[in-house]
Amino acid sequence: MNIDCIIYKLGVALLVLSFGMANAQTVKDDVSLLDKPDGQTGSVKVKAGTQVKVLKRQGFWVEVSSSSGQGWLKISAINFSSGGDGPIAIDTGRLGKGNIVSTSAARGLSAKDLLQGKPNFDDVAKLEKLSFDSSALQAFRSEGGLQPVNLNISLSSSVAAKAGGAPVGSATPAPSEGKKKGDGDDW
Amino acid sequence: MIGKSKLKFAALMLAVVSLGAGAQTDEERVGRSSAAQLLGAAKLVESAPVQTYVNAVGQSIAQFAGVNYKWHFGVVTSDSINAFAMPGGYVLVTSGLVKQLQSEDDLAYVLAHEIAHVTRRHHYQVIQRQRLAEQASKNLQEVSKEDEMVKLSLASGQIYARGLDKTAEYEADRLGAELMTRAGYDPVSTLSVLEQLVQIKGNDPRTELLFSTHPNPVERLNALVTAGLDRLPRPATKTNANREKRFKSFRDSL
Repeated sequence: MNIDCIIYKLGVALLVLSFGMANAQTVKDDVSLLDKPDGQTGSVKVKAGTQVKVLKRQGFWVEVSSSSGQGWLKISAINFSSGGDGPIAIDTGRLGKGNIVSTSAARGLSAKDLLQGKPNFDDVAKLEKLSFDSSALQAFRSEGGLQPVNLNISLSSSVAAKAGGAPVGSATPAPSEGKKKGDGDDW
Repeated sequence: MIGKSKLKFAALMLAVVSLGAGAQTDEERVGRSSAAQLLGAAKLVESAPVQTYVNAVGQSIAQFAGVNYKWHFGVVTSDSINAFAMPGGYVLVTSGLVKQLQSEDDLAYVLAHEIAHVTRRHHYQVIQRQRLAEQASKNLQEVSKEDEMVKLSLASGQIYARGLDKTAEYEADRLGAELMTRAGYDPVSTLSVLEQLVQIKGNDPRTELLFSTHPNPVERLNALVTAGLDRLPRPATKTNANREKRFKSFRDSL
């Protein structure tokens, strides 16, 4: 085992450890923890600032446990900044399954490669030859079940300065858009 | 006063270059040169089905961007985990990144993020500012001749190695999430992709350039959630078997 291997394994161990340690967050406002991630009311009341542990994420919902009980919240109800690592604390079920992989070297596209590479206009020409007419594109979309959404909302632009801070979201779906409470947005 | 005159002169020169360019705009020429530089570091994957598929997904999203570009999407052969947007509608994603993705919706978020960079002209503005700052340099002022296109390619390499400022990346995340939603994809994939990046963060050489040119994925996740991501509507149905099948076929062929 060489020194690089030891350093890498130590790094992975610290990373995994940090996931566990960071898994304590707080709720932003007084809320009820829901029995299911479906927008229906729940019975467990939790005060703003209460520390919760995020157990898992499902869609836009997170299952949390608190001293009062366990239940579901929309992801935006959690103040991830209190834990320091944000939604890193969410156990997606994929941790520890071998996704943290190191390779000895990455082929191409390092900063050095970008600076020293020789322009390849032949491949640009190949790229430009690819085209889709509107009927083929529509067929592709239909095959994939893609339905356009008339979205007349926008995500708040002030988050860059407030990432992890107080909620500043201004997105409000039009009545005809999105899922209503009880629509079963639990996937 | 002298500075203002120089800037005006440089702006005029840019306008002349654009007017004299014929059908291809200056923005497209800059993008073409930038794409050539990236493709010089990592070639296109030699697979028509792969390139056709990524183009289909990209065009499927780009048609909702509300901007009239000739969009070109491609997959390049590289273990690096990254994606790139070039002015004028050129978008490249690495095979290394595709292998990390779990669904077509994940790919849609990656491409939508890059499309947003193009429509907001993030890289083009950087190049324009550089041109103005270095207006004395003929290398960056005239891009219509082939040798000058090569010089512009080399100059653009510096921009992609250095990256954009964080606000541009956050903006691309937000606009990308909105755009993919308009196209019918599930905005939850923004979380899925960034969570994947969180998990592979560290000393992995595949992400060296990505993490040196983008905000921490945790910060990006927090920013999206804080911006109201979970108020975006999700598709009416959970999965689509055709979409899953064609994405799996695409990813497995890399």
